[in-house]
Amino acid sequence: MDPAVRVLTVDDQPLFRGIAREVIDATPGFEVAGEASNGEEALTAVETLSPQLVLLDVRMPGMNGVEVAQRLTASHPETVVVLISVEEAADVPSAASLTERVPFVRKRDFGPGLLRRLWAAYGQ
Amino acid sequence: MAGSDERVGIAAAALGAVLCAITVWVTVEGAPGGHPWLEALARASTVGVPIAVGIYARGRPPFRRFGTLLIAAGFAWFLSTLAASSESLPYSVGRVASWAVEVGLLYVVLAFPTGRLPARVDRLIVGSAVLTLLLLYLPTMFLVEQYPSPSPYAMCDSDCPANAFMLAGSEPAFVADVVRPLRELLTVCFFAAAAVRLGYRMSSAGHLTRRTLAPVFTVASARVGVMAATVAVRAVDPGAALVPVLSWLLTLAVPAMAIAFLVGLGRWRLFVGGAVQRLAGRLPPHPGPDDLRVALADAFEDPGLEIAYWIGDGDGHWADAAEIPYLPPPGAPRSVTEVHDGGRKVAAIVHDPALAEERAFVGAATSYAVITFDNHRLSAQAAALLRQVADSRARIQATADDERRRIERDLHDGAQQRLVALRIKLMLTADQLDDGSRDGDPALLRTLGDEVDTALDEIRSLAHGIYPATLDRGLVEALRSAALQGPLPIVVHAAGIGRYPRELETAVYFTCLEALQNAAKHASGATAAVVDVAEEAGELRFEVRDDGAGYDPATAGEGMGLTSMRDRLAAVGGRLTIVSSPGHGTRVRAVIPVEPR
Repeated sequence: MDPAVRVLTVDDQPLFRGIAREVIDATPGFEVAGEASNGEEALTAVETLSPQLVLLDVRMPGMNGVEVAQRLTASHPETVVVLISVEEAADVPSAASLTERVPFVRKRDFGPGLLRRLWAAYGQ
Repeated sequence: MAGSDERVGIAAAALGAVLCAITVWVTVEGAPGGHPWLEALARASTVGVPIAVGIYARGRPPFRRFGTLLIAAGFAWFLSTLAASSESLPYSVGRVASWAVEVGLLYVVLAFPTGRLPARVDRLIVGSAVLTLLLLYLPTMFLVEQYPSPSPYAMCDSDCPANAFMLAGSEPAFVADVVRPLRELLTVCFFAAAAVRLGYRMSSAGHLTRRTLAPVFTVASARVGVMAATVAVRAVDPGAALVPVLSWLLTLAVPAMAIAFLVGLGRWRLFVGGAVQRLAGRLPPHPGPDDLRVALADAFEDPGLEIAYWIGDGDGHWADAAEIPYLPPPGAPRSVTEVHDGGRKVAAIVHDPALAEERAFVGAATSYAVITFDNHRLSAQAAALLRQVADSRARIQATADDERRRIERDLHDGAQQRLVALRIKLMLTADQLDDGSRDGDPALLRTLGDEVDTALDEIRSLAHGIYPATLDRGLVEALRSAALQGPLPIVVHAAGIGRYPRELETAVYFTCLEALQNAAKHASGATAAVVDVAEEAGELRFEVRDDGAGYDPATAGEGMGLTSMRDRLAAVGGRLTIVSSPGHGTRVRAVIPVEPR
């Protein structure tokens, strides 16, 4: 049995952090590494917790998700970074430059199935 | 004033006519031959022309004094024409009077055109001439047997009447040897000095004064020449044929001088009349203060003309158009004409002293000045009001944009997130029911139903904040509804309030709402708030008052909330007033004009 994939959730909305935790807990093979509510906290958390997958909300006060994604892909190329938002991809053009390495998913589609597919496609 | 002026003029004219008639009669009676009527005409003109010009001059305010002076001089010069008589007494009176003609002529020439001697040097010249008259002329009337002949004042030569005032036994020699040449020389010198003074005044004066003085200067200079020539020729060859010609020229110099005065005055009138017209033509349609200054300086050919404004009300000071304190320029004397508007000192025009008493100038300058300053003030007010309106519009627009942003954020952070979470939960539950990891449980669905309720509440509250549906049912409904939803107990008094145009009801509703929210947030110790709405005398008035701690509006300043309240009300023509003091609660009052229903 492989060790569980550790997931870090980054979102300023406590509501989504809560539901993400529920989903991760309900997905076998994945576990919650931790939570962060803004970009700075996220960067620190990545250093300290070494998650394998990071869920990044695009719209946050201070450093937005796209910026954090750019930094993480540079500093931690082995970490899977996923941008997530209530908006559609067309509403966040700046994320387009990253789509090769950083997938963009809609919050409403989030669930155990999506989590597994993401890890299968971008992890390992 | 005008009436008595006319009477004086008529009296002077009548008396002048009488004196001219007497002159003519005396001359014709005493004429030795030749052309008595010609001579009579000439002598009468020395009386009549100055009086006529004097009467004309009196009719124009800057020259009134001069006119009176000239009329008096005309009457005085009448006496000298008695010298044409063949009788001893009138002849003697005439000859003595003729000495005073010189002094009189000197005085009027130097006092032209105001009637006052302008400078100390002028008074010196006239004083010296009077002194000469008193010391070298008058005493000799008791000492001579015969007055010197020929003279401009008497056509007789060897057959002149005897001096009626002779007191001494015989004529002392020094009178003919010393006194007479000295006094003749002095007379010529004084008149030459007067001509030089005129020339100097012309060179240092403005254009107007120069034009007015020019004819007088010409005649005066010519007269000096004739006087000098007479003295010289008489000394060399008393019997020369030139002497009577020069004498006649000297005689005719008096009416000539009077005509020179007339021409000068005429030039003045023409110039001023033209200047007033030029001024009207030069001013642009809405003149500013600098336009007026330029136009006045140009029209009246006074380049040094300046306008100063009175800044401040009670104890203010004079300043120029750039609000730099004004100082009168050094050098040539200037006159100041103050401009008053409705009893208030508004401005002062600094100009050529020659224009000081010219009514046409003062009248035109002050009326245009008042209009200009009014225009300027009104424009400034209008500009300030426009700026206020522009600022208000910008604020309203910014507020509207801010509102939109707030709505988007509220939707995003609230309802949208909730619904997304709900969906995820539903899908998750569906998966779990599918793979059997969870049992079907109605309670779970009920929980999810509660989440939908919360989302609905959030959306409803947001929509209500955008535009409360109750407002469609009227201002009073909306206010009562808002009163039920605040944290503070709120009472609404709105008896007799009906419906108003939508913009008005919206403005009043949101302003009251803001005031109530302020009371809930900031009025410490407040137990309740009251909203009072009433319509009276074509105005809708409302008051939101609380019993909180109150504050001092003067020191506290206005926040964005109050400004936006004022803007909202201003957009429908209303006005906001805050009444508050520490310890006495706060009252927010507004008044909006409404169409009577």
